[in-house]
Amino acid sequence: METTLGLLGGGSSGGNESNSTVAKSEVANKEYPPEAELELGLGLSLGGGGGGRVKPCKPCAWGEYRRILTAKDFPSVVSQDDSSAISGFNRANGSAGTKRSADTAAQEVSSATAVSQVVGWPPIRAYRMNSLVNQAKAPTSEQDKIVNESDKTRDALKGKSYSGEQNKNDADFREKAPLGFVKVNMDGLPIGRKVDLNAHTCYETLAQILEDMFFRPSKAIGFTSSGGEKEKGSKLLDGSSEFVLTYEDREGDWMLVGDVPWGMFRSTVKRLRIMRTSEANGLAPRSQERNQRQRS
Amino acid sequence: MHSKRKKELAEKLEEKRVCAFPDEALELVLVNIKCHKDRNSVSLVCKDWYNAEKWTRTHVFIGNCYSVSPQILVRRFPNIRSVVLKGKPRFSDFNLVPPNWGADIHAWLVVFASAYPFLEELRLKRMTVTDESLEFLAMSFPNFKALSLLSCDGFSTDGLAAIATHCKNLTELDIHENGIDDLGGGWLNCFPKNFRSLEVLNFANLNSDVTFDSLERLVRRCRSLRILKVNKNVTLEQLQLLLISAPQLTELGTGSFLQSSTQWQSTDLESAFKRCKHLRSLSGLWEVTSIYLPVLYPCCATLTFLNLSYASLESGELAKLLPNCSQLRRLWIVDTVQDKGLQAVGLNCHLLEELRVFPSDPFDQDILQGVTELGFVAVSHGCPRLRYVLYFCRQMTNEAVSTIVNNCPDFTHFRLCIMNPYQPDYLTNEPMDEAFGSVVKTCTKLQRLAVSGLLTDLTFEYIGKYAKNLETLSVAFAGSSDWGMQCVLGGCPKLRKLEIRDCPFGNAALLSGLEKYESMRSLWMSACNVTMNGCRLLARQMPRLNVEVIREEDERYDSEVNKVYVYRSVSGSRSDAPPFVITL
Repeated sequence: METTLGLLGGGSSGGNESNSTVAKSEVANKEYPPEAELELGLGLSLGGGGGGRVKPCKPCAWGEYRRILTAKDFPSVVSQDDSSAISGFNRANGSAGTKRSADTAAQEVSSATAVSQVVGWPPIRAYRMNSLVNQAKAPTSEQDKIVNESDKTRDALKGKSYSGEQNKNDADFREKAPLGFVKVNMDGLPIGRKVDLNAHTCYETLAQILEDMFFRPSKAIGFTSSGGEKEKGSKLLDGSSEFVLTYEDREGDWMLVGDVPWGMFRSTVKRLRIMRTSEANGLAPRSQERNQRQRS
Repeated sequence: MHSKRKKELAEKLEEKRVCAFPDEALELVLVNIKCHKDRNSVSLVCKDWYNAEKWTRTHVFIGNCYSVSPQILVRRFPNIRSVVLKGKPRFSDFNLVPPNWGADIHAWLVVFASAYPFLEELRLKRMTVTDESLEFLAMSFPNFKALSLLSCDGFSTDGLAAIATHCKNLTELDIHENGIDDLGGGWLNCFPKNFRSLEVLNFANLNSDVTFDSLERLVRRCRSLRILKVNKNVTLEQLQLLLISAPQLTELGTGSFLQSSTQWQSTDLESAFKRCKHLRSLSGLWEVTSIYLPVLYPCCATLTFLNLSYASLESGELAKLLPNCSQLRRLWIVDTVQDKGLQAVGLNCHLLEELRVFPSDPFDQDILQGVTELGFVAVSHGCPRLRYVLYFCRQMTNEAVSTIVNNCPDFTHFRLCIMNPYQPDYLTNEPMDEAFGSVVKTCTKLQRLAVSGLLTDLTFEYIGKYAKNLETLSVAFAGSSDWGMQCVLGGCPKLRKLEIRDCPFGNAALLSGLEKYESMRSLWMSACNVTMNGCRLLARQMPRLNVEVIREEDERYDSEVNKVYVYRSVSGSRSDAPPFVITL
């Protein structure tokens, strides 16, 4: 499977859209500390675990996050044999280039980065691309910017890729996405999903949907389970699965899902992550405490 | 003896001439042969047939405008009424060809004006057309009837105004997905008040408002109008009025379904649609929502082509719509319908021959959205007659593709786009070689193939060996070495167009096709490992090929070749090449 790591400290999985492109780095910098601090954060975070909910200062939280998920968790996109393919691809990126973290080897190229920086890929005609852009719901100022960008593409493409500009604008208005859609990523899967939180009023139904999405995809789209997918675990919420459900709140902290009332969760959640229980060191004890409390 | 022999021969010749098929009869027969491939064959039989064919040919198709000059064309065929011309390489659709590359129609029009004053039809694809050219066209050909522009650029609505003003016999105006400068909708008002010959009007591409009154009056007086595709500025209320005036339509492109006024009744629209009993094709449908979809149900029964590619439907909406569309042969949709929506396709559209699934969000690569291999498999189970597919997805497996082609062995066009480059089979982590191997082995009628995903040379070995009818091959981010391209060039006897980007094919691969390129229309290679030396060698060895390197400003090394376009031509190298095109 592809890795979507390799950028800006490489700590996040594919769900982190702001890691994906050079063009988006302005967006990314708002949320994440610059790289120099990150590398320090790496060292500092080793002892920085601590039990329960972690709410320290931002760089440490980022470091904490990095400790849970590292580049080594994710298999590389292409085997070593295909180095020629990768090097050809890297050349194709030309001036755009790819950002790499200190951790990752040169081979690991974020496919998310690559796609958005490649001119004319995916192969969709410019006319249809413009229509897609204009149809997306975005604030008017963004809309004007997008229209101007797409006009530009018809005239000159010196080095800058149409796709790159497009992606930046997409990122801007994706963050303002309407409805209750949030991204969900699962450890070990570079491609995430979106779930509509507005369709749920409690944790149980949300967990159910997520379990269907990630553990029983055939069921999720209406096909009966053919046994092709291994059942990876049962409930995400009670700690009996090898995965736990966590979320990132508005302040950038990662918490276990289920700790706060639904309404409060709903108002602060930015995105979700299905984390391996073994990796969720800083958060797991809390879950066990909760189970003990429930059982007693 | 000698003179006797002469006499015998003379008598024999006399007999032959008497028994010979008179030219006029031959021409009468040949007039009915329309297919240009057949006509090409006819012209090769003998001198008489060549001449007869030459004088009776009225339609010519030129797949590459630089393969022949207008002068050669008019000498070869003196009686042409209808021309199809294609210009830029197909990858120009994806911004890979710099602007001002060429393919300007004007030089052709000037020659046509003197040689074909009775020209009636002009259909252009990927050509540059200026307003001056459109005006020149409108003024030079009094009998001009049909203009179709697809993926063209260089003109504005002023050019359309010229056409509307001067072409008194116009039957067809088809402005389709072009890079057009939209200066306003006033062009539509330029049709004269007594003008009534229009049969086809397509301005779905244009963004500005047309004067609705003019449009309505035009539609009302053109009683033969059968194809009408309006742009998204035409409201539902206006659409309803148009439908009332033109119930004879066979193809309809609606405007936008976004309705801000809540007052308006959809029942009127529904009855307007009901009156259109001859509708075969429906498109447009911008922003159509669940509320309005049922309005379409009554006219869906006769539909053979439904283009929902500008309407982002959900799976449930599609599932409710499709049971009404049992006659569908062609369906274009957006991947917002997801696999569930495709399941509905498989359940309802058993006559389906063509499916195109477009991505709604092509750049958000880190979210699984859209369709997967499961949807494609579901369609293949229910639609065994499928022969044309264009499928954008984010994951695929070898096994799924194998299942699909076993269900649908009649594919003629298989265009699969796994949107992440180099993506392997997501379940086995293997390359997608076996997927395309099964396509070419099973689908013996395959004419067009576009590959994607992680592919080694093995894919191309399969293609070269099995794809006997393949004419067009599109390759991106694939292959491991020169051998891949060599396999294709060494096999595929019917290959006409080969377009390659971002592959590790170099000079050895390029040069292995020396003998092949003259039987092909064109070769495009970009971001591969080809150098100037290789291209120069090719140009030197094959004088009847044009080898054009596109050199863009930020390329530093003279020996590097980023983009090369090779095509056969009987008219030598281009005289209108811009400075960034280097002809070797």
